Amino acid sequence: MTSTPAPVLEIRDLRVRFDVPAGRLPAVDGVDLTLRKGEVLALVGESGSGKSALSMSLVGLNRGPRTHISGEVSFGGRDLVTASERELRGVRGKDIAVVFQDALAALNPLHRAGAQVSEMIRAHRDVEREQAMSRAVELLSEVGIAGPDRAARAYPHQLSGGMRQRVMIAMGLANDPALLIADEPTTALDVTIQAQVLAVLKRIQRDHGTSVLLITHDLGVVAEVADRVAVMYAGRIVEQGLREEVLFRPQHPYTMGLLGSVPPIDGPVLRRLPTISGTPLTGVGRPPGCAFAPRCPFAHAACAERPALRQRYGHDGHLDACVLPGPARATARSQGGNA
Amino acid sequence: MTAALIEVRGLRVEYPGRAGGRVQALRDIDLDILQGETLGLVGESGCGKSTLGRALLRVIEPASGRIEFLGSDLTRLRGQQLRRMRAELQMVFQDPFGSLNPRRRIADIVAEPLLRARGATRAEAAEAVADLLDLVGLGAEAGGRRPHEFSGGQRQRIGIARALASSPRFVVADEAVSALDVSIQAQVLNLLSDLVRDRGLTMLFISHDLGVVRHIADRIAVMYLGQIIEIATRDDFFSGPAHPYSSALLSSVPVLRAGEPREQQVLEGELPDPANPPEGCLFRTRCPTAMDQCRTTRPDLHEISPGRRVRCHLPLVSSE
Repeated sequence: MTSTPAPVLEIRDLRVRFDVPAGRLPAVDGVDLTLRKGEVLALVGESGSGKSALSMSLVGLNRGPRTHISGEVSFGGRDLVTASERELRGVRGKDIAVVFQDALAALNPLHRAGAQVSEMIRAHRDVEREQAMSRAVELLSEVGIAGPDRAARAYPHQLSGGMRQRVMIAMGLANDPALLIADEPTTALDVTIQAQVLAVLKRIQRDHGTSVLLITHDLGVVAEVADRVAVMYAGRIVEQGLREEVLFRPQHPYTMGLLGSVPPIDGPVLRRLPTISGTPLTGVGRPPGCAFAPRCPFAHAACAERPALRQRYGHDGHLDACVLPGPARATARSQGGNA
Repeated sequence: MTAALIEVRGLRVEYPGRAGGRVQALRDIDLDILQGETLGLVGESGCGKSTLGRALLRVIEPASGRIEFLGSDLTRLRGQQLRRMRAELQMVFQDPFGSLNPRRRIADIVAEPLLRARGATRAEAAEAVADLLDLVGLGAEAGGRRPHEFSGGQRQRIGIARALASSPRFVVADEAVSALDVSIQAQVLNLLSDLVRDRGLTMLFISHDLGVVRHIADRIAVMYLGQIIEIATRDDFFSGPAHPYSSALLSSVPVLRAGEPREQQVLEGELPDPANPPEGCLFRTRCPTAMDQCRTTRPDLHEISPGRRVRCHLPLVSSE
């Protein structure tokens, strides 16, 4: 029996609420999540599900007078929710690195790529400029850039989208972080370039044992790189478990619906795609019970109470937040989440 | 054999490049779009797929070539003739936020092509608009509201209603569902395929998403660096692409498949600079099977089996 790797990050009852004109928006509405050493955990959800609000709040990137964050995020022996901005600055870019979707906006247009990577090293470590630069070139090579010397001298606008995203990843790796948060890192890229960047992410996780929190809306990407998956809906995690379990034996009707809505590139072509009726909850109001119940074809009286996220019919720590009994789930799954 | 609704011959579009050069956005496109079919046009950023869609609607002026449609060459139409023809040619855009005028009512946005290109009266248009809004599942009462009151998926339905208002024969849908979340994307795709079938529309469906294209298209055309490099029926294409680029493209799509994640066939390198394309085959710099001939001779788009054409000296599917 293999032992479970130690947790790197433990999130307990995390809530992130934004003051908006209509009231207080519960972007993250009570999330418990554990990320273990060396794993890729994919956080999946549609627009407005709270997945980015969650990841930003881990490193304090969405703090402000209109943001209310509560709960606990333990990382390396401290609580990141109560940590001071000064403490967080010491963590960001060193122990936790963040890679965003839009590398062009995240990179400084006035500095060369190599300088940005080496500055990231020097921001957290006392090394000479030349030494930092030669390490930067090594990192650029490690993320699969052919001709790293030339790339190091280029400005961001002179690089393609795929190259810029690699530079971002190189910056993320600069201080050998324990955790890499990648928020839609390949969404803006073409598929052939996406495949290259995903291969780099997989290699980094394997070679360095870095834990990766991958935020994505793309279930195909999840299938390619994730070890575990957490599915978010309306600020809550509705299902969580091993990749194989969640993607191929989904327990929650929302996950089933999501999986059914993706037109595949093989297998039979359906005349009509299964759909999830209605639209996601994005406003300030939330039903008192299950947030998915208004769109769920299997909703019934018991859904008026908020279901806890726990293991019900799943295996190996496969959790779900749904009160539907086992046989009904099998039927639902066979119908792609449609009643 | 179904007749072609649109016959494109030798279509070329050029842009001014740096240092006075010309960048060829479309290189001698020959393409038949058949009556009543949905042709899926795929390829990566910068391959020219959107340029081709726009050139077919005369939004972009070609440098040379012909577009035969309903007995005339679209590239030669001017003034009144072109305006009248626009009623037959419509477009659904990607961005459901940028493509609708935020200050106008939905009813006016949808009625516009009907009033302009078909010369309908206000009363006729109002009636048609109410029907269209019902048809796309928004209900006639949506007409009095403005774009910001609708979600992305609903706005895309408005864009579809507008594109259908003048009863066009040909519609270009350019990444029409790409900005939508999957659960909403599936709803809009179902709507679009129902409308195309019920109204006998011919559609060019441009998308980077091969799963979506496979769902909706009858035939697939693949572009690379301004050229069409393969054209095949959906089943032929997805069961065995003939061009090495098509094959790499399909292999790069992340798939939901049980078992351990597979090792993908990762295509090396990036798209060459379109202002400075390679000699010979345009794909040879990234092609895993390139040979000497590929460096010297640019391949033609030739037929390898009935209805299937490929631009490669060494196709992955042999000729019949």
